[in-house]
Amino acid sequence: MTLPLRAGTIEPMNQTNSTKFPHFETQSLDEEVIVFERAHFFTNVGWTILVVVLILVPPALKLIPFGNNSPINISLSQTTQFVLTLSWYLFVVAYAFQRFLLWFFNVYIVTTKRVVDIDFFNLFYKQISSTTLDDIQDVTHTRGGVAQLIFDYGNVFIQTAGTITNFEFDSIAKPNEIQKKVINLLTKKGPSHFKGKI
Amino acid sequence: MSGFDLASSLPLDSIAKIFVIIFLIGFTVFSFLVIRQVQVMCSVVESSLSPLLKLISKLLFLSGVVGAILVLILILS
Repeated sequence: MTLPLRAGTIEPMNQTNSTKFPHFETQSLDEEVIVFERAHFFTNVGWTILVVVLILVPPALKLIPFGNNSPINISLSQTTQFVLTLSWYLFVVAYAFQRFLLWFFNVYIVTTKRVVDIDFFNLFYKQISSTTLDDIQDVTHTRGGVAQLIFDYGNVFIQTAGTITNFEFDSIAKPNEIQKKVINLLTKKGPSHFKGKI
Repeated sequence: MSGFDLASSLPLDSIAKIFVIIFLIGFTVFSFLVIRQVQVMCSVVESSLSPLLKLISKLLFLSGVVGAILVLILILS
């Protein structure tokens, strides 16, 4: 059972072999995944630039004279410099790995039965919310800002009945299509479901 | 050239080594928690990248352990 790196919408009609499809922990056997999304790849640009800058810090420091003839003499032995540089790169790799994990595993799923929002806020705290399609009251999508317009990503809000948590699919690609998919799914369940709600 | 001679006023080399050893011990603990967290994440959402992610998390842990041992040897030698 595998998931592609690029998440996306899955058409149920293409599902001929259930072992090929996205699978999550609480999925039941008769539940088909219709939408499987994570934040748009562009949302990783910020931390990727930061990682590149952090990678360039040790070579940049080598250009600054810290030796005996410089105004600030903080010369270290070659061994200490080597160990410090290695530690720095370990830190950078760990940071990049953590950010990638958080992006990769924060997924939004719509199945034939429910909506599931899997959130890992940091490495040590996770939240999995789900609601049945019957509880959905309203589906809205927003897209604003230059980056969201250029790269076609935005947020989808799924409002649920009563005190049940509302769902927010943040920065997902093609939010209008996702909204359409969810509405189609609800309409298929019963035309009266959305009467007067859209 | 006159300037602020930090190297002669402080044992910078020793301070740097102690800093690195503390960092590496912290890093080892952190990466051990990351291994566990990756396992949890991979069980929540199955992925084709799961084996690779588990391998990377274990390599990070190993790097922390090896680094800490190497720095300890450096300090003690």
